[in-house]
Amino acid sequence: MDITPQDIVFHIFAGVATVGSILVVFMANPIYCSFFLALVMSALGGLFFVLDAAFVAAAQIIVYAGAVMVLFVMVMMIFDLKKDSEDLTGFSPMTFLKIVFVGALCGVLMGVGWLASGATATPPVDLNEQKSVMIKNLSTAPTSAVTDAEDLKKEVVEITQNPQAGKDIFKDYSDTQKLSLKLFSKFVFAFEALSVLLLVAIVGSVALAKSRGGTHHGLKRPS
Amino acid sequence: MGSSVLHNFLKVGLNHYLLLSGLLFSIGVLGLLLRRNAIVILMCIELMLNAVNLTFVAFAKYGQNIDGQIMVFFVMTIAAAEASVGLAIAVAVFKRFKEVNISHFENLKG
Repeated sequence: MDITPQDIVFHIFAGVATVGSILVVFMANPIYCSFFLALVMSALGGLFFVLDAAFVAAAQIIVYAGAVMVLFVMVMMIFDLKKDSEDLTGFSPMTFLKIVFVGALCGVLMGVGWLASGATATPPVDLNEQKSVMIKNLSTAPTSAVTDAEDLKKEVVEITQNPQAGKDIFKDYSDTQKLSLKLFSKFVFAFEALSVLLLVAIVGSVALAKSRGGTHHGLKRPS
Repeated sequence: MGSSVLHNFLKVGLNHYLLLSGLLFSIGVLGLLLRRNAIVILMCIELMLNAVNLTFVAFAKYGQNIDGQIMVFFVMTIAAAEASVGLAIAVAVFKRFKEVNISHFENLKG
């Protein structure tokens, strides 16, 4: 198989994301950290485009690189960060231990990620393979997972009875319509629960920001 | 043989995305452990959540199941809520101590 343009785009965005995230960790000034984090998030948005997730990519750039990073920068603007002392931990045996731990974690994560899917490139499974896998899953599905099995059965029946429809299901894979149908049918309870969570977060952050001078009401402020 | 290995590395598959995501997550953990500025720590948490999002989307594509992309929306929402509450706490700490160093957090009681 040839190297496609998507592969080249992946390598560019992966390099940008890696270098940017290292700079997020090691930049002394938090403002630069936030700019590099915005860069990393934009690069990840580009990777989501490469992965046929156009709507998620747009949401990533609007929500993360837009809203969340603006929130960070705005909060930093009201701080006087010149005074912030001992930001990075000094070098000590504990620091060495931390770096060793993170190195081990990195090795495990990357090793599992590389080995779990085989060392060679694996293209997405095609339709016939997918169908056989689904039928196999259907026959071995435990009885407790009734809804999953029924979903699978419905999809398999749809594919087997109408091959054109089955092809369409996977052809329009990147479609936002499919995403929204699932979000508002199968995941509607989680969606509503998240809206309650957002309300709680709004009330909580307003209450925290309103309280004057932290939480020490009886104490005097150190000068 | 050597060019075949290089070709395998350049030809992007699911394992490349998992590799990148593991690397970004580890860098986020490193920042979480090494930095003492509360805002930069929040940023590192965002970085880790983003690495997880990349895994979700990669599996959504290579497993042909769109549920992974929906999980990404949930993670994004929770990350936004967490950032707003965390920054409110940082503002409260800054008002009190004129610094956002996490060594001050141990003095927050009640």
